[in-house]
Amino acid sequence: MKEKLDENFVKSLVLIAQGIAKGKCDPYDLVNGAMEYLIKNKEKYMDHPNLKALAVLKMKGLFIDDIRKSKNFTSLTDEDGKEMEINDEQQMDMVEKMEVSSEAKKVLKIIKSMGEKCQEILMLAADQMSMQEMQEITGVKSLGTVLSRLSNCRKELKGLLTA
Amino acid sequence: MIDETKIMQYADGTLPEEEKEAVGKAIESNPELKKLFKDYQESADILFNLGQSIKSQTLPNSLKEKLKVLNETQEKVIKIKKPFTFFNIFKVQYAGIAAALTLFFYGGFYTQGVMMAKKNTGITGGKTEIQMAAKKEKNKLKPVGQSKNDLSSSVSNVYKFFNEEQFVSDVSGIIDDLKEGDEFELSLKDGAGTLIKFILVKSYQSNNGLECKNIAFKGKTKLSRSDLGTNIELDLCKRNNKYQLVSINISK
Repeated sequence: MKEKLDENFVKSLVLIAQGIAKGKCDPYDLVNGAMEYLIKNKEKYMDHPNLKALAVLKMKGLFIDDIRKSKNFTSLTDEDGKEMEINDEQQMDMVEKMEVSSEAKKVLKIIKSMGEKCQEILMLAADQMSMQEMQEITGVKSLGTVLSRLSNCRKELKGLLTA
Repeated sequence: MIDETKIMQYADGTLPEEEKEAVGKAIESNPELKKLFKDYQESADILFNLGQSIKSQTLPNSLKEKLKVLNETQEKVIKIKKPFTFFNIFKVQYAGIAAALTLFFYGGFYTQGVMMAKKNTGITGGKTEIQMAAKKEKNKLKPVGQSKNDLSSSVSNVYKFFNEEQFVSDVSGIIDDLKEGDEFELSLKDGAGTLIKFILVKSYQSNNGLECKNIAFKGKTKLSRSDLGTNIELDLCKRNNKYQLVSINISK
């Protein structure tokens, strides 16, 4: 086992889940699901070199499953094959229920109003991940794409916060 | 033209050393880049504070319990990355022992199990001699579950392929952290290619005061493709701060 399995590990997952969960999907459900998956496959993955990345990928899978179930989708792409944006007012209610500072709530609400890719990468950045880790989790092919995505999303975030 | 990503990396302190000077100068001389640099610094702080704020929340009990279960698993299943295969190295010196054992058992004993005790002679060069002792079965007429031929071939199978040095080296790294009843793996495979699980049965002191460990193969081990399963236990004792294999117990 390379990763230290302590509360910080789980809290990182909670943070990243905020960038993955949307609509009726509760971030804590995603973390619970990922933890259950790790427990179920403990012998297979206990010495995995990046358990956090594995858990995050599982959370993304769970999110897609959840959306498919709740929206009765068979696919998450539109007719042109582009990724669908799923927005739901309920995610804002979840932010309100969180016991975090009002400043954090404001930032989180703004992030949740942004595009999916920005939501994901900004929450990974909030977890202080390196570019390489972000690349692994997002599945983006080049490090340059990760850098430019993050730089654009941060610019957008700053613009929304000062607007 | 300086790329915006370079400004972001400069603000985050992740820009390679050799690029810092040029980017720093560009920021100093260009008000637009200076503003961008400040914006990136601020967004870094905002994201950092957001992360800290979310992480400061108490975890729900359901997640705490799952974390506990995962950690218990981690303690129980300790794997060593460096793999080796139980049946990959032929030890020539043990072939003679196997042959001797075969003759020994053909000589008249029915046995239930066999124990081989290794005794370090202390001769320079680290040579060891191996003492063999077969436990006499009370009822000589009833071999229990294993014929003499099977037993001798089991012995030869273990010693023919067992890489003792590798085993002792790998297990030494973890054995002191294990508690009695703990299970662990060494990427060691049996004759059928199945990963072997071990259990630390007990820690004890030998008659001469050495710290020793008794390790059992969990369940029966297939020593060859035709073997239905053999119970194997190993005893290791610490001598001069190094564990040494002192005995192997084999039974059906």
